[in-house]
Amino acid sequence: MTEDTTEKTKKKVSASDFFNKDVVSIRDFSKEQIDFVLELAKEIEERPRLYSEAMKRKIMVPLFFEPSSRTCTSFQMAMMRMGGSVLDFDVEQSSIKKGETLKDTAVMFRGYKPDVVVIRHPLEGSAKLFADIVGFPVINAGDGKNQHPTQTILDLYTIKEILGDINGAKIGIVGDLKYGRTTHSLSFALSRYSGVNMIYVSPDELRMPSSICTESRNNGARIIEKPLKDLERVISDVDILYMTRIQRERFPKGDEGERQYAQICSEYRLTIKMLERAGNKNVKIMHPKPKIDEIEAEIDDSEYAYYPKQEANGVYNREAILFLILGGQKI
Amino acid sequence: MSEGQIRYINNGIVIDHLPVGRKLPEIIKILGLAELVERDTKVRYSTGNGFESKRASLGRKSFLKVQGRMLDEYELNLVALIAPDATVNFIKDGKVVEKKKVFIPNQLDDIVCCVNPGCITNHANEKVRYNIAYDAGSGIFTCHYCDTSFGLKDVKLNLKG
Repeated sequence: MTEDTTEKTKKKVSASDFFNKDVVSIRDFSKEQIDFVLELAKEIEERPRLYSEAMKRKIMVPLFFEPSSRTCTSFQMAMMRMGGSVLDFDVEQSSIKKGETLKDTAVMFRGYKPDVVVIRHPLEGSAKLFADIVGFPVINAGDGKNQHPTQTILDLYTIKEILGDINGAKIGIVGDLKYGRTTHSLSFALSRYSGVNMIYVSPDELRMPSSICTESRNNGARIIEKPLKDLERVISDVDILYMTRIQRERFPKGDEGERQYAQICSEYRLTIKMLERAGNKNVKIMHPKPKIDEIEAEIDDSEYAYYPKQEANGVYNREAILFLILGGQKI
Repeated sequence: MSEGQIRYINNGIVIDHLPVGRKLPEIIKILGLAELVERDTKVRYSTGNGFESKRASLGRKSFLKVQGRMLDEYELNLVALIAPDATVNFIKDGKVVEKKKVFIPNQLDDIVCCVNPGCITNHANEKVRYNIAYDAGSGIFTCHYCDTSFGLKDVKLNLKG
C-alpha cells in the first residue's frame, strides 16, 4: 500500500494490493483502498458464513504492551470467527517485563513465524520497527499517540453506515483534539472524501494541531473550529458528533495539572437535554471509547447513541483487514 | 600534532564558506575528524576562523582543512546540516581538482535525532538508531519510524563524543 497518488487513483483496487502488507498508518492506504476494505467489511457483516473458514491454519499473535479492551478482543474475535488461531501471549509474564528490547522480541517472533502480529505499544514508531524486522505482516493497534489505523477504518465504516455516503458528511469532532490520535487520523482520512465539513470543538488548551487543520483544508475539507462552550449549538449543524475522552495522562502531574483536568472535565459533558434542545433528532453520537463522564449515561440507551454499533463494527473491519493481508479464501 | 596550522595541502580537502563561531567544533565532530587522526597518523586538520567572505550572506567565514584523507561524499554532505552554504575543494598533488557544494543527504543514518520525544528512537533502552529521511524539495525531515516531520531549524544532531 502506498500514498494516494494520481497513478494510484487511476488504478483499480484489488485484493492483491493488500496481500502480505503491513498496516502501520492510515496514510499507507489510498482512499480507494479504504473503500475496498469498507465494502468487504460490509459483506463480512452481512454474510459471515462465507468467511468462517478464511483464516484456517493461520495464527495471529496479539502483542499488547498497553491495556486494551475493544481493539484486542475484536481482533481476537475477528480471527476466530474466520477459523484462525490466536496465540495467548501475555506481555506481563514475558521477558519484556525483565527489560528485553522490542527489537529482541521482534527477532524472536521472526523465528517463530506466525502469520500476523497485532501490536500495541506505548512508544511511537514501535509498530514500524517491529514490521521492519519480522518479515510477515504487522498490524499497528496503536503506537503511543501516533497511529491506530484500524480504528480509523472502523470509524469510516460507521460513518458510511449512518449516512450512506462519506462524501458530504458533516461531522463535529469533540474533546481532546490535541493529543487524540483517533481524531488526527480520522480528520486526515475524512478530508480525502469530497464535500466533507468538519467542526472541531475543544477546550482552548486541547485544540486540533494547526498542521492537521492545514492538511485537511488542503485536501479540500471545510474546517471550522469552535470552543467547547458552543457544543450545543454545533449539534444542530452536524450529522454526527464524534466525541472523545479528555486524557488525564496528558496533563502535568501535580495539583495544577489535576486542577486543569478537573476544570475541563466539569465543562465537558454532553447531556440528553442538550441533544433535545438542539432539536436535531437525526444526529448520531460516535465515540472510540473508553468513555468516562463526557457522555451522560442516559444517552447510552437513546436513539442518538451509535457507539455500541461502532464498537461492534470493529470486528467486521478487522476481519476484512486480516482477510486481505493474509490472502483469505471465501467458502 | 594533528590539529595545527596546515599551510599547504597536497592531498586532502578544504571546506570553505563555513559560518564563524561555535559551529566549527560541530563540523569537526560530524566528520569524525578526531577519530580519524587517532587512527591514521597521516591525517591532520586545521581551522581558520573570522576571514572575510565574498558572500554577503556570510559576512565573515571559517574554513577547515583536512590533509591526508579524501572524505566520501556522504560524510561531506553531512556538513550541509550545519553549514548549508559550505563548499568543498578537493586537492590532489597540491592542485584543486574539484569544487563541490554540499547538499543534505536524503537518508540520514543515526545522525539527526527525531524531534518527537515519544519516538522509540529517543528511548535509549530500546537501542534503535535514528533513521531520518530528507526531502530536498520541501526541506522536510521525516522519521522513518514515527513519521514525525520537521524542518532544518529543529534539527538536533546526534553527535558522539
